[in-house]
Amino acid sequence: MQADMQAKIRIEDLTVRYSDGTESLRGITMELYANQINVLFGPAGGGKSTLLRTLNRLNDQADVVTQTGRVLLDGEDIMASGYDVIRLRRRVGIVFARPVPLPMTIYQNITYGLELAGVRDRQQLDTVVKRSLKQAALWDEVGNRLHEPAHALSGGQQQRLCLARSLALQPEVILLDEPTSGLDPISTGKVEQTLQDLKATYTIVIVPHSIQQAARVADWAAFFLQGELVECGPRDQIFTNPSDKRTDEYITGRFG
Amino acid sequence: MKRLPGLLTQKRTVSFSEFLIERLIGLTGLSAVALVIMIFFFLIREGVPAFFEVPFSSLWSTRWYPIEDYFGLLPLIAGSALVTIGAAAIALPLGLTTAIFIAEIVPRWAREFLKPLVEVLAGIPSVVIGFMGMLVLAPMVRVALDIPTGLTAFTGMILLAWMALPTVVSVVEDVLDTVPRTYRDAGLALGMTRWQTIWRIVLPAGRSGILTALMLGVGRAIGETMTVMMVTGNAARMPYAPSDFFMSVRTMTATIAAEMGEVAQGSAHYHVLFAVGLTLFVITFLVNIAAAAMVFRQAKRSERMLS
Repeated sequence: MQADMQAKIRIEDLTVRYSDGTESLRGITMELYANQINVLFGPAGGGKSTLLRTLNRLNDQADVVTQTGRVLLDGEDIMASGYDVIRLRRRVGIVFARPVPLPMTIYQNITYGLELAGVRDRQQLDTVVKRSLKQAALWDEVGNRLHEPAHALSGGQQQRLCLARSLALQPEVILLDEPTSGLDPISTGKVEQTLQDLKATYTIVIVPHSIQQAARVADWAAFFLQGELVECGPRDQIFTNPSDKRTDEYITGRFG
Repeated sequence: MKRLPGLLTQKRTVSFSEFLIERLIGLTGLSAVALVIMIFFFLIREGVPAFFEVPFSSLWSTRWYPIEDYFGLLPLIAGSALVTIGAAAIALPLGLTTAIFIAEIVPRWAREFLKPLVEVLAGIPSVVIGFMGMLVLAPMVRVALDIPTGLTAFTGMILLAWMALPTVVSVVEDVLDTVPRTYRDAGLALGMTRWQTIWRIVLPAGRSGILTALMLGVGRAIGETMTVMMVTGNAARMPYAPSDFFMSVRTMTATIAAEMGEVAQGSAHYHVLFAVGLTLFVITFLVNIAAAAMVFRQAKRSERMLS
């Protein structure tokens, strides 16, 4: 099917090993597609988060000892030495499981990344704040109190603020690491709906916090087990007719 | 309904040892408070007569010459303030950057080794530090600045800063360590450099702890006696100009320590020395209250954050 799908990120034979000897990812080769919600799912410890953090090189900070293989973003190897990591992180945004509002106001949380990137024009910043908050489905709730501290927001609002903060930089790819694990069902629904709206513009890569969520949001899904990519494919195939027995057992709840 | 009181008394008798231990702990806690109150009253009893025996105009003057009944407290207060503020001004940036270096920049194994090393500094007795100050630092200061004596306020500041440093470094490092890694990740993910992340996210997040560290450092500096007595020259003269940094001063603590042994008990001089102690007590008390108030306000803010 989907012959029109365009690969945004291509991962070639990626292996990541941490300093304590654990191999987090083993020989991963896969593609992540533009304008799709790409879901990475599987039991804990499967390497999904490691893969996400590799995609914008946050793993540079962790105790990673060996990292082999290539990760191509629009055909460019982001693992190459001398690659501009700061620029990469502006192109590839990430939202974490626990919302981390910066210790500033709501407005400043969103503009901060932009100011670092050199945007100073007040009017332009105002526009971006409004646009990103609307995209993250938060504008209606906070539009009239932009200059209050971000910590005053509820957990669900904070998470959408973090999403808006990533969107403000107009990235090409958005990575989400269990973005709704701490949220109530209503907030979860809002975030999921937002993702559906956003995929028209962005490449979305999400690690969901449950199989149900994986099945709900996925266009394309990849099943990870203990550092290995078991299989990947379009949602309908993976969740109704998986080709690997382990995938079948996992989604039917026999383990995990 | 009726049986409930009976049950309660029964429980009381069963846990008699519990009761005893509770009282014992309460007593120990109270004795600490009682001790502070007793010290305070003792200071008042011995110090307050000074304000009746010595005219206020004499106390509020710049001449400290007890033999001839000049009891000007201002040079002593100014001396303490100068040395303490100077020490804090040196210790804060130095301690902060050292803590950042240890917590954020060096690899983990180096950190396990560096932090205890810094903390060992805190264990050096103040006499030893004063001794090194007299024999090593003071001559260096004298030669480097080409001044008549190396026993100056500046020398005292450096040594006090050095003594406050382990406290500041250790507390700030602990504070930075408790800032969650997710904060740093969030900063980096926005395209910040490592330095921007530390400066704009990690430090603001640990602000209250950093203030506490500074207050602890200042507390250590203002009460320190032996070291300042050994290296500041002990000339009770009023500092007026910035150049007085490089002259001898005398602090309140050093005055009490130096003169208390030789003063006639019950004399005006004796009471004035207690008045100096009382002043010191009040200042330390105010610094502590300021620190506590700051931490308290921060705590309330973090409570709001959690809700």
